[in-house]
Amino acid sequence: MSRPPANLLLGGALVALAALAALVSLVWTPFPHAALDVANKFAPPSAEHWLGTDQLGRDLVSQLMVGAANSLAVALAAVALGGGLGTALGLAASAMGGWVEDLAMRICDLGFAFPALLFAIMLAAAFGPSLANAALAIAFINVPVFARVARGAANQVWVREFVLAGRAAGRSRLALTLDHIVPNVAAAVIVQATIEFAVAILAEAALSYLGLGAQPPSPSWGRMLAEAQTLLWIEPMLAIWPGLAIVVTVLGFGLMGDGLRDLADPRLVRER
Amino acid sequence: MLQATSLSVRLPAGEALRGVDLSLAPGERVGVVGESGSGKSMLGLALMGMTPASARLSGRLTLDGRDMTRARERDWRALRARRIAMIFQEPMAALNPLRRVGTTVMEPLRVRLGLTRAEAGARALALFNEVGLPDPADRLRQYPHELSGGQRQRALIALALACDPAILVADEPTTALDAEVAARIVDLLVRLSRDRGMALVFISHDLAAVARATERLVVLYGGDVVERGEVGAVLADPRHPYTRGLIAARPRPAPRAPGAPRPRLAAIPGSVPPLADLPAGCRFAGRCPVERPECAARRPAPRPTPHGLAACHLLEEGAP
Repeated sequence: MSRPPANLLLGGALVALAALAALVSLVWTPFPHAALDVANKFAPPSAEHWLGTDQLGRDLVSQLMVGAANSLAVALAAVALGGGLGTALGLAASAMGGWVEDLAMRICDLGFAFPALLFAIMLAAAFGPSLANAALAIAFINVPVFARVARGAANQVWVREFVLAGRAAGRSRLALTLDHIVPNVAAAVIVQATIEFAVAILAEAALSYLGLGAQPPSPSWGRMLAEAQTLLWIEPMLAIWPGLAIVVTVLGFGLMGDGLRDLADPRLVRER
Repeated sequence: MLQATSLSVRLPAGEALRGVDLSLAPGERVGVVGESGSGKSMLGLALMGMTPASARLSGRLTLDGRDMTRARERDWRALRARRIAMIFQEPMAALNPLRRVGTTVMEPLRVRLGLTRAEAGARALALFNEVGLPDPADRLRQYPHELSGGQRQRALIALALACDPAILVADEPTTALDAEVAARIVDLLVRLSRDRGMALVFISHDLAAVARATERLVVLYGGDVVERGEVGAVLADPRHPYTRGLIAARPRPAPRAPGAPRPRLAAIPGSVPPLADLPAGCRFAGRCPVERPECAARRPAPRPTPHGLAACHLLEEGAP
């Protein structure tokens, strides 16, 4: 284990690129992202507008950067919230065992039985369209995923002898969970979080594309795609750039998740 | 102090323990032997109130006069560590690889006894000294992988002793260790039991270790107590065919001429059947060399032997 796996490095680099764009957008963009300049619409790439402008003359680079910030923020919030709740639920179910565990897992099955994105659309529609609600909706569909991962990993730890030894030493289930279970399921949960990040980015793009996420004038990659759709035959690049941003970021998180899993469990490294 | 009366543990797969009687006086050392699958470990877990959630207990188990047969996890937790503690077979697996050994040992001291960090550290140091760990101050700061197998088992014994339990259940504490280290751990357990007046339940399939560690012997097979008695007498003069088989299966290095054929190790034919397939009568039926037709159907009652009890139909009829 002298070198991190190549997929982790490449994935990390792609994610870092998106994260960098998002961070920089907080303090600086080439142009105000919503500044209209109708006289200058559909401008080709130039020294001034690196990737050109859209149908209202807005700078594409600036929109992509702010879009990155929105997409990553939604994904981060969704995974942190959904992952935190789901992991806690899974750990609790595993610690309680018996009918409590069964009930919790059946509820998760119910969550899985729903098409995830449809569920998110329903929730976003119910709460009203906004980035925050999109994040909530995506967090919600993440809960059963993390609950199942955490509970599965935790169940494997509960039967290990050091947990038995802890019980024999009179420790409570809560104490055992915090001291022994959490550190030993952290790897599995972190790997899942990375993968779910990719899913969340896609889900946010889809929700924004459908008008249930970012609201004008706040840009997001999904909303840029939606706006570019009608102009696909006039100016295809307007759709290609945000599409590319989504693909690269999702790919980055996917590769990173694979790489982290390889690090966490070397036995899973595929033969090359 | 501890009294199990006709204690049974039923798992979904079958009956893991059937009517086990066991009593333990302060300072007493009892050995529990049997093959894998004979119910030894289930007995150890039952004494700790740590049988699997799917297990159903019947009979009666009392600790300090309190009936614990239907006790809840909360009640058990109050007794674990302080009254009854346990050590396990795999000293590597019984320590969390991600935590320092000292942290693990100090935990019950701080949580159960409410000691401060400094007090618990001093106490852990004393415990490490008592169990014979060299350089105890350094050991406290190390991670499990930095200790040898014998040192890990000593650390686990220190963990089990942390709250001065009256009873220590040792579930195959020497199985994962090499013979020399195993003998020293056995001697340590005996010394601790004597010094502290602590009762010891020593679960093992190693008859030599049990003979060295204990005073009384309980032989388990298929969840039944098949024979019990004073350890030396039972091993010298076993009355149950299963006990005889176990003793015959013990490897004994004997002098032999160079080039002479190695004597074959005696073995009990077959293996313990799965719980669901255990015969209803004598559990040993099907593998017993002196089996009678009625054995598989009718359960033999314990009969007195010169040094204890044994449950075999042959004894009921006064046969040798």
